[in-house]
Amino acid sequence: MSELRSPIRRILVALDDSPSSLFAIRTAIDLALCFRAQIVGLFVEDINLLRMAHLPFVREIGLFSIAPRPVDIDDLERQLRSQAERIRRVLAAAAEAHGIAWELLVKRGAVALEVMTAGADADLMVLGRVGRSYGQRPLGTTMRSILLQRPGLTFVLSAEVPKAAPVIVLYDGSEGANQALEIAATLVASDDGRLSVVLIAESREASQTLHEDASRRLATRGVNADYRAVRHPSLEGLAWWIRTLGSGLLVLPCGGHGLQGEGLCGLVEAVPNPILLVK
Amino acid sequence: MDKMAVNPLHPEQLRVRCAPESFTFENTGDLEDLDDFVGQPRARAALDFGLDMPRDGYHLFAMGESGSGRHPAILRFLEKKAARETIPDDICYVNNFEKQHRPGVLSLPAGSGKDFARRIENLIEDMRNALRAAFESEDFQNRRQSLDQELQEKQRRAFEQLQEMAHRKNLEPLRTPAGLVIAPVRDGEVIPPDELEKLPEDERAALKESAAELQIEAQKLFQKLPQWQREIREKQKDLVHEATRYAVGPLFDALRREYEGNQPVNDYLGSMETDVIDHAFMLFQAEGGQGQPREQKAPQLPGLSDPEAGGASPALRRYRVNVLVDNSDTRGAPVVYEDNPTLQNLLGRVEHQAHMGALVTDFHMIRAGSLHRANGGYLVIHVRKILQQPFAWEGLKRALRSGRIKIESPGQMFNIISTVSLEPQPVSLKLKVILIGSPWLYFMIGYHDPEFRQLFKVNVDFAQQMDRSEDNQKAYSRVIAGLVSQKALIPFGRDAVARTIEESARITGDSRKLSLHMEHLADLLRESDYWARRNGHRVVRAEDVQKAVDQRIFRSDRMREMMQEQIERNILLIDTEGARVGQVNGLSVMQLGDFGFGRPSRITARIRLGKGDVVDIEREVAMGGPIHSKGVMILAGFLGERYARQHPLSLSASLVFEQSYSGVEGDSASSAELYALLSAIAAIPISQSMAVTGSVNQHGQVQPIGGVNEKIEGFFDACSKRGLTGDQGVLIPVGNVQHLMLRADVIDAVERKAFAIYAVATIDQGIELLTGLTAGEPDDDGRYPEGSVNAAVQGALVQMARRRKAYAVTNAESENE
Repeated sequence: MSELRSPIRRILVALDDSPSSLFAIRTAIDLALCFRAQIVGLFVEDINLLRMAHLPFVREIGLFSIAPRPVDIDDLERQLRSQAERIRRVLAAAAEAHGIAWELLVKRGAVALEVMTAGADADLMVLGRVGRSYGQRPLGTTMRSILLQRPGLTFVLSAEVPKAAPVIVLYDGSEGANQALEIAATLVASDDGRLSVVLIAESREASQTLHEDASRRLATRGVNADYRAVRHPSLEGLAWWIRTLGSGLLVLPCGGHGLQGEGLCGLVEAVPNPILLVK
Repeated sequence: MDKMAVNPLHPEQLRVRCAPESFTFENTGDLEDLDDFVGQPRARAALDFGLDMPRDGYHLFAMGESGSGRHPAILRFLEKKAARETIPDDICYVNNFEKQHRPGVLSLPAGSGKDFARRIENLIEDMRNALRAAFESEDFQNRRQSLDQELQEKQRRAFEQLQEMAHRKNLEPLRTPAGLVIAPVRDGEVIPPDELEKLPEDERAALKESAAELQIEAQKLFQKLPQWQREIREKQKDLVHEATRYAVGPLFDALRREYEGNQPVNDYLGSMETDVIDHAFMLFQAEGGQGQPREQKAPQLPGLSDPEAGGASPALRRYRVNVLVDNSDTRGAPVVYEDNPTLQNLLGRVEHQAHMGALVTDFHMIRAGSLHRANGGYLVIHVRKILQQPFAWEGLKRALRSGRIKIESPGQMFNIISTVSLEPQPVSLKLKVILIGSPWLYFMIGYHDPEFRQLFKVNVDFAQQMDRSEDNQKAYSRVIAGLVSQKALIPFGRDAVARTIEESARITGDSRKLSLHMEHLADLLRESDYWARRNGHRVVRAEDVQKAVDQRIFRSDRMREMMQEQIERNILLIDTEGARVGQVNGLSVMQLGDFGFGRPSRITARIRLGKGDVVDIEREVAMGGPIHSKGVMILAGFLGERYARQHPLSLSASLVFEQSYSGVEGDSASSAELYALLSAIAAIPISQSMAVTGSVNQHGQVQPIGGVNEKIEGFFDACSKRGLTGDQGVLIPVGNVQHLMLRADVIDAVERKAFAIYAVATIDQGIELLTGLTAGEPDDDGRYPEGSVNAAVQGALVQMARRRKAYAVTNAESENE
């Protein structure tokens, strides 16, 4: 692991007391073990909620009681603190069980902004695909901001990462693809798993070249892989290909082939797999 | 009345010998074992009948004295018979998935129970693998995620609608830690309160109204959420069921085909499959207990075990088979002897295990009883042992009556305990029970328990002795050979066999019978073997058997020796010479455990004027038993009938066993008492060199008695100590001659004419031997010839009658004056 070109020393996990946050913690623990990294949890007290509590006519509808009730700012703050405390306990238990250094940051502000700000210092950010908001699309507003704006490595997940399924990596020979291949090889090697490489090329010859290149790189890591070649893929076609390869982790180099901006968001939405974005 | 003179018995009449020459074998090694039922034709026929009779209630009671050999004979007989019969089915207990406290029972062909249990364990492993593959399959995962997404999408669409409605009115639904709020927003952020205050009144009112409307919409939405979640849960459950059914169905189908002809097993497999489909996640609990929410656990009844208890996999405990009776090593029908017939050892039991302070159990803790193990075969029980165990007799009868084994604790059986425990499905029962017991117990149980004769209709009556014919002696020699073989003794030579047969006859107290008390016989053989080995003999000889007999007597005869010493030293006053009036040597037997010996007793009679009663002093002091008293009263009847037809019997007589300090019972001394009485009346002395035994009836006939050999030997020993004079002997009833099996030293003395044994049929014959006078026959007038004993008796009684009459007249005149 220490052979990685971009060593991951600090992993930021965005946490919001949702079920996917638990998966995020587990995944962050696995990654921290793999890359010998430190975990930093981040819990943001949404400024919008606190503002809303001061509005005179706003009523809260309880999930169980349904009956509308006035929002009490003190009560709301206590609940937020309580959420943070729960997250602290879960994170502490998980990290300390594996001897991983950890800390929890509690910030108050706009969620997307705070996550982006805290993520600036992190080598890798792990966050749930869907947050606590009701009725969100497959990608929440925070997630969209991250996808569109955050450089570096970002791990997006909605459920537990299936261990048995093969890790999938897209490879087009670019710098980002080489980095993605290295990371995927590291993950596979540490977990004794399988690797599927999706070669994206313009021609059969180019595919062959990419195959040789990827094989050579993986051989140095002692990793074997299955190879699939995809020519001129649309985003929809690429998503279909990925789905056929199973529900394993997708290591996705961003930038080329429309994998940036809204295109990237579209692919992340279309693929249910956990995704490690490499920018 | 026998008028012939009584001569002493010849030596050959004193013991019926068994001639070794009558046997064609050299030693028992040449002989084959014989059927255990030699001399037991009645028992054998009853056994054949009882075991063959297929109807209910025809169980057997093997009746005989302890040591008669009933037990080994029956077991060997049953084992031979059972070896040719069908091996019964194995019995297995399995979970009852619908009513776990009532485990089900399965019957499988002999030896198949273990195989079935192994197949079930393999099935569990196969199911685990198949289900693991199914649950990890892309198809399953995708469908499960699809269901999760379905719920999310449903919720999302509903919230999107809410969101759109909100956006149109510049509002935003926001999630709070405990619910949802509808807040006014601008540029994606909640409007701060101060800015809201700055809005125009009508705009604020519109926002407020819109927020209220949206809250109502949100409420409606929230009301639908639980229903959607339930629907999705049901779909998820159906998905798991479908995947499980798909994964395990072929495994069950294959197993069902293996047991195609066994409907109960197929039914069980069907219910097991249904249960597996409902509790598939239980199969993975052994792997850390993950993968199953608490609510999916199988419900447990109070008192029943937690499947996680005891460290075994929940699936293993839930589905594994408890092979209660495994007949894989059984050959033929089972023959079970229950040595400790407690209720639970007979009917089986449900064990419990302490777990977290409570006693828990499940169907794996059902244990078989001997009824289970003997089912389809034979169960042998000693009746005395079962009667000593609380509730066991009732439990056995209940099982036999109902034809099924229902495992119940005494607490359940008698409704003492009402806590929930297991109620295993009863096992169908078909077997023969053979009780072994004494005749006394047979009749006692029959008298007190009306159900006994309904259930044990066949009485297998073991005789204690058999006729001593030539053929039977040969058969007996094979019985001896069989015992020698079974007990791994060195062979018995034919002389030893002959001596053993003689001793067997002696044990019966009858020269024409042989003892069937196998324990005594086996003991004699073992002890003879011991002495033969000590003497370095490679084949047991007659002298070894004799040594065994002598040593056995020696070990037991301290009391006899003490008594003989007391006679020799005149502490016990027994005359063995001379003649005395009103005194005779009687003989009795003292029994000390297995050893009995004869004891001479001085019997005396005294008379006086009286009204015709004979006083039994033993009875007066409550030391005489009723039979003895009856014998004495017979004497008065005899005297009156013979001598006092013409006048009243005007005497009072008293009879006593001198120096008797314990009770006297039996009538074997009644002839001796009569001799003493006649001697006392006639004032004729009786020879003290003779001893007498035999009972007498009112006609003066002497009747046979028991223990004749011991009695003769007892007086012989007393005389021998003082030195045999040649005049000494014993009078025995003629009916006892056939019982004589006397010791060699007695026979030797008779051969030397140093001792004599007389067999008498009547009192007259006896009195002649004892007095040396003729008894005398009555003439037509009932008068006896002068000089005879009877004339003297009659004369004395007439004199007494006259004196009494004279006394009565004088006394009456005195009173009148």
